[in-house]
Amino acid sequence: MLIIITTVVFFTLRIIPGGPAEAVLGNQATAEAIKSFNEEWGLNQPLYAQYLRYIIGLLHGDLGRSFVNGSKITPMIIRALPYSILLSVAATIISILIGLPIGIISAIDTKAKLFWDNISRILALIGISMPDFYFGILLIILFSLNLHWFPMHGAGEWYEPIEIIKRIIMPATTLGFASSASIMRITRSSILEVLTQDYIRTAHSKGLNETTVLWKHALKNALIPIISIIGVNMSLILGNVIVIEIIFSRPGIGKLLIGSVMDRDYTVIQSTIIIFAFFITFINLLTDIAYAYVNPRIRLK
Amino acid sequence: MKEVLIKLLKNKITLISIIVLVMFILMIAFAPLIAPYDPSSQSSQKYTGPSNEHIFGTDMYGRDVFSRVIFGTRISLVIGICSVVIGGTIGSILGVLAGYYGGWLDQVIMRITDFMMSFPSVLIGVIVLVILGQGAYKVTIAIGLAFIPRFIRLTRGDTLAIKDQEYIEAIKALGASTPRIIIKHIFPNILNSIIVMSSLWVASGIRLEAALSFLGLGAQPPTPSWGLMLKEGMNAILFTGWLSFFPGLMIFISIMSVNLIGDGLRDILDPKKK
Repeated sequence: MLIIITTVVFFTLRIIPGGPAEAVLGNQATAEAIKSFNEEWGLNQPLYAQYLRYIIGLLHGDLGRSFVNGSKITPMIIRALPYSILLSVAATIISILIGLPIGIISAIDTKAKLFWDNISRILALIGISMPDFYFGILLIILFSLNLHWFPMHGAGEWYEPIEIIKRIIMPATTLGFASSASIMRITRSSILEVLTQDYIRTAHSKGLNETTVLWKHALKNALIPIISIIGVNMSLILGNVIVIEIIFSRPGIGKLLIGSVMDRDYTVIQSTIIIFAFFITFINLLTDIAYAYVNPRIRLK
Repeated sequence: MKEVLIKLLKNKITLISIIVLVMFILMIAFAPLIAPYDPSSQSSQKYTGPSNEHIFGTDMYGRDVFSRVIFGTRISLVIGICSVVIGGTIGSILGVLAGYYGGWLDQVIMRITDFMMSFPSVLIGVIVLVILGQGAYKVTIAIGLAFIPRFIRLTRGDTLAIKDQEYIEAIKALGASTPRIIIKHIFPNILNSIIVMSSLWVASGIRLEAALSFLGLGAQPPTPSWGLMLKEGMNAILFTGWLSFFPGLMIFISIMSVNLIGDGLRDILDPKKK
């Protein structure tokens, strides 16, 4: 899977008209300048040789150097990555913190069914319709510019954890809010479905009290679809991290990607996309593992 | 068709959404008549908030934001709709073929689909725009491409579900050719779910266009696109919050109304998939 992505990205970036030399040197560059640039970067070698060299470098953890400023890419990514991972994880946690409790309450509170029906519908509608970048801007306008609760820019330095937390709340809420609606909806519907099953009736007739039935029997089985939606959401969050990092001008892998796109810095673009692909594959794998953990039936296959 | 329309208009929320959408379409058609100012004419009044003269305020070049928002409807909605048309057409054709023929064709198409589906649409959009370069047309293509796998998955599933039913068997036994079966008998039966899906994805198209333009990869200045205006507003956010407030509000309203219409359509056309 990762090999396919690497190959596709590598070759598609090579077919871009103009090539990296023109992108870096500008379109007025002389033929000699382009030639020496190509020689310096090994671009005059056949494609397969360039490809092999890139793959070997990749396996050694060396992503090459930036076309534009010549600095090594691996340290650039290592510096940016923790910020993006922290943001994605924080966003996922927030989406679960919002979605799961509301979902559970709305499923078991049978007295106010209509009320919860409407709440879940309205939240879902706003969650689907509110673009996260707009939500982020609204948060900035309200909490940074008017109330001055949180700083609007940057991510803070690692040695000041309080700054880090202060600066991650808004972006993580922005990202998490959008996915909380789907978690809430799935939680609600899967608990409602599980509660009608025979084994829940059996548990009730054994004389178990309401809480035990809910926490021990219903929730564990309802968890399967919830985990899969959290997995799906995480890869969505990873895509939206790009936009959110730009809005809150946080350092991170998305900002690196967009910055390199603006500079037409192909080696950096290539490497950041591969890193993204790596994480998406990793999340899918994690989802599958979590799945097998809560649902032993899958493990047997 | 008439029945569907009547049913749609009976639901209050859908009715309001349709009215909103019709207003947006009128804005597309009559933008020069509605907009009080030329969207690109500059003035010395910069960063003013909403006032009687400029109801949405002015931007960093003193341009009237209200006029720009109205002209922006053209870019944003048209890109949203066109990208779904592109993605929907190609995706549906591939999906029906994969579902109907099965075998290696199905394998190949579904592998590629699964591969693309594992990427978030924003990332696919960025990658395609890196390759194609930036601009309004290219964004349409990029979003269309990101939508193709979604349509493939939907239409393939639907085709699989109906291709073994008795009436298809009967037509086959009568000697109908394969293209005829697909066009005359399979396609009309899955059309409803394609329409429902398309209406919901138009909302995503609008949102993706805004996101990509916001990143600076879509429509280029001075085009009045909502995403681009948000970006300009974001850059000027220390001067005035209004500049990003209104374009974003338009994105929100348009996405919401399209979503609600899609939901309404689904309830009528495709009641199984609630």
